[in-house]
Amino acid sequence: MTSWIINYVIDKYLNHIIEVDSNITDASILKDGQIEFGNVKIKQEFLKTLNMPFFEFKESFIGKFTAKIYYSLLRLDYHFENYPIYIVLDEVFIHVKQKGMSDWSEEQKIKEMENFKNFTLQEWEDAYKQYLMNMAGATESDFVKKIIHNLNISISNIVIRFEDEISNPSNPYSLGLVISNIVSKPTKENFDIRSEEDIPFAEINHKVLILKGLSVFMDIKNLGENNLISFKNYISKKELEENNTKKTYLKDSFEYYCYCMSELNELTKDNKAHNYLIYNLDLSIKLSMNQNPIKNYQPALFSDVNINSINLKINILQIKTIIKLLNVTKTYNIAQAGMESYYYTKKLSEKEKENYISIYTKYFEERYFKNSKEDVWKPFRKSFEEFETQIRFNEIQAMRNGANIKLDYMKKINDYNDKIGKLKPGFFSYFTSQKTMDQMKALEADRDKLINSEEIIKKLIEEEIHKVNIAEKDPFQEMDKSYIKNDIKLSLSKFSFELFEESSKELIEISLHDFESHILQGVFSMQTYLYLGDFCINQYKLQETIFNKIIESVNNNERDISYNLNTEGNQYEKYYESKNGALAIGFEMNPDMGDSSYRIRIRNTKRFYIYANLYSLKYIGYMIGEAVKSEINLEEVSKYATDEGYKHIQNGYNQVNNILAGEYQHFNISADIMFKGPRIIVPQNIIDKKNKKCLMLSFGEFGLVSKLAPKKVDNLDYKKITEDKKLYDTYDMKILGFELLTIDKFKGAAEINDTKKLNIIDKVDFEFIFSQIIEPKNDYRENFRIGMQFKLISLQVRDSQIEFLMYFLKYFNEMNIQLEKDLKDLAGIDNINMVNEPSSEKNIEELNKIAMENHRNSFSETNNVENEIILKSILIEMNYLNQFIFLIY
Amino acid sequence: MKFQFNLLKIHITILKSLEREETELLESNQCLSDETEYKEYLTYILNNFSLDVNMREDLYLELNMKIFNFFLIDKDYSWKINDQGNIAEVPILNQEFSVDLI
Repeated sequence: MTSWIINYVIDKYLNHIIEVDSNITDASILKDGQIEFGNVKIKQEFLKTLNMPFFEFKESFIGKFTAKIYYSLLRLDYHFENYPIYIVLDEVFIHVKQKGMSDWSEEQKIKEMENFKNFTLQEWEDAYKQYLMNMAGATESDFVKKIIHNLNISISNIVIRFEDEISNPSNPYSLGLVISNIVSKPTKENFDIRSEEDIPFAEINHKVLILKGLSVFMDIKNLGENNLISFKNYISKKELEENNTKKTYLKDSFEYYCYCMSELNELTKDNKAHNYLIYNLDLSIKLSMNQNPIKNYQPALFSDVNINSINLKINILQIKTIIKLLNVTKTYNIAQAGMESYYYTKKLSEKEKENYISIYTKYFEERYFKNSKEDVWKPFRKSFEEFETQIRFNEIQAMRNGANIKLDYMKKINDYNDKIGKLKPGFFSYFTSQKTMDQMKALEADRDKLINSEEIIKKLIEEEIHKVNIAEKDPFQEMDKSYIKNDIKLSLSKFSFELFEESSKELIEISLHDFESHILQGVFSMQTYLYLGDFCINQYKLQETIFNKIIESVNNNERDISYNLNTEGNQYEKYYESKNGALAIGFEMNPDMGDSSYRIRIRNTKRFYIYANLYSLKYIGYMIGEAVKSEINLEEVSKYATDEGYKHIQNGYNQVNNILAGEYQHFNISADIMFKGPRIIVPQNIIDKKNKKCLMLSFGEFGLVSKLAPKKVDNLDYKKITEDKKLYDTYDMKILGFELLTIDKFKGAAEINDTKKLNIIDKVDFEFIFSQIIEPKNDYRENFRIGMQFKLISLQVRDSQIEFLMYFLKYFNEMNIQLEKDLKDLAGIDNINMVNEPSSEKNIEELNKIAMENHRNSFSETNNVENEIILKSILIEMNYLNQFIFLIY
Repeated sequence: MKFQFNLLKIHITILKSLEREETELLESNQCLSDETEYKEYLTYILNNFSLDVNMREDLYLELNMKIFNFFLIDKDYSWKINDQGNIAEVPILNQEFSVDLI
């Protein structure tokens, strides 16, 4: 009796998906309608229908499939909503490869992209339609209900491997994903994850997703070294022997199967088996659903993501490959990536391949980094540009009508302003003739006419906007604006990011403790909260023998010097503030909020200590430089920056014109910011670690509080208003307790309160008030008001502290001289050979040594240098100071 | 546009470290502390500097500047034992500009 049911199910639902071999495949039916079968391959034909654009499935295997489906499945009108479905999967092994496009053409590429998009869109659309058809009168929240109720899935032992030899042929790489367990099941409130009892359908309102033992690795073949690239290397003999019975069934996939088994059994226990990016991550997500969200005025969906710790490890080679890949995926939209794979899959000889790679790299350089004279890729580039313009065509077309009218109008006013500006009398107004004055007045009258005609233009623009509005009807128009749809919370107790270079074993570690983010997303509104408990950056060198702190956050329990704040935070902000962390940010966006639609609030109780240790600074610079050097052209960046600069200047002019034209719209944000500034610690002798003398720059407290005018009302006559409070948005910024001091014996940031300090600059308080008018047509008032106030600047210089300065000047001077020499030497060498030069790191280390030696020659190591010598050397060192300032410029 | 700049007080002091004899003297009398470790040499005080700028679009410009008062105080002294046998601050007078003590 049981076999026909299985046959029926397989025939009806799974026949086009799985491949069944009666000798190997186990199939059985148990109580409660539980169907179980194992050892199945997924059909290649089915995988092809998935229409993946850039990838193809090489192997796919499922070790065990169990489904608990009620008998009513056999009825045609089966609904998930009424009968939950239970699915258990074990041993899911998938092997994906980059698609080779041997018969590739540009048209096909574009078509493929379009097809993929259409296919996925259509699928979603169909699913939703089907659902709505089944559930007459269903609403959006019912669709959410379906997600929560329909499926109980448990998948264990997943191995997915992706291999790519095409997009980066000089460094082929493999990416792997190993997950030991994923469980997703619906539960009630106050659930116990381990219990397996069935929960009555009516009580279900939570869904839990638990993910255990996720590891991601990335192995790259380095041309210089014989790194592992093939999975064959990982198969253990034990696995081969144990699974020999499956050999005939799996045929080609057998090797891969054994590889996955050994990956699961042995290699995940050893964190050095691969270059793991993420190793053994556990994650749990809790989805809760509100049955009647609009009535209860609470979010429809709560999602609470919990991660215990993420340890992200990455090395320089991996970063380089990822950056290259990003470029490749960018060009996938262009013709060139297809071109490349075309060359590659044609099975070229070694020489041809080399030739091809050189062409390929040359292309990249030309496309991204240089404006080439001889454009080899002209036809491809041209066709891409055409493709790009086609996509943007509609957008441009739509904007054109509205924008043109406005542009013409602005141009005319600009012309008038230019002409008037030339004629306007300057300080020597006595010398301007009556003729020019008349001319100017005439021009001004003409301009005013144009400005007064704005109503006609406004009407034209409004009509354009109206057209768009009709086309896109707002589906949420009738909804309450402050209604929140989703509540998403992510909490992470530890995140660490390790960046290392394998050869020298240098390591940078960035770690966050107790990180939390909370987003409440509504129809028109959004609230975002970010909390960071602790933050530090450390540096290890030479297999962890040298350890440096770069940044750390410390709570010194200092007395607050802050002023009383008028504004108060909401419940979330108060909660995060009470946790006393390194940073708590709250940002709210809501059109109905009072004086402004935006509100920001920042608080912290821990202070950041930044160590300006030369080694660490140099190391960060080197790491970033190495990773980015080959991919970024600084000339292009600077060119882009100047272009952007001109745009900003143009925007500034436009804004002035906007004010003149009466189209001025002020932007305001309700701010309540109060945080403790960082402390920067500079050691006296950058090289000598035993020297505990240091200079400390401390930025006491920073505060920004806004006092905003009430929201602008159209029917109010702002010319008659005399109260400043109703007319000006005011921002009050305070910087309290700025200090510059020297410390003789630095014992660490935690004990800073007990260490003896000598202040050079003491407790500088600075206040800055900025006011902006909300309606500029009020002729008797200023548009902007700026006020600055220093309460007390107290400066105390001791002769022993001048010595401190001398050290720095001397050091930078030596560095400067050496660098100038090096630059002169480099000037003779071609830029192309630069890549093969020894890394800049060594050069800087040598520089340090030279500078240190010179130090010792010019200064005795004793600290009590006599006053006379110091005063004399001030004059000498003034020259160095000049050079130093020159260096900064 | 209205621009206002206020500086209520600047206080600049240049301090000098003690001579060897002075430290010995202070140490033997147990007067050496954080306060007496350095001695004041030159002091510059400026009270209430303010600048008001009022600019209008029709090129009307108003400028107000105010300095209340400022002082430069020369206080070069050394620690010595005076006639009464106490430790006291004895002023140092440069020979070129010295004035006979009355």
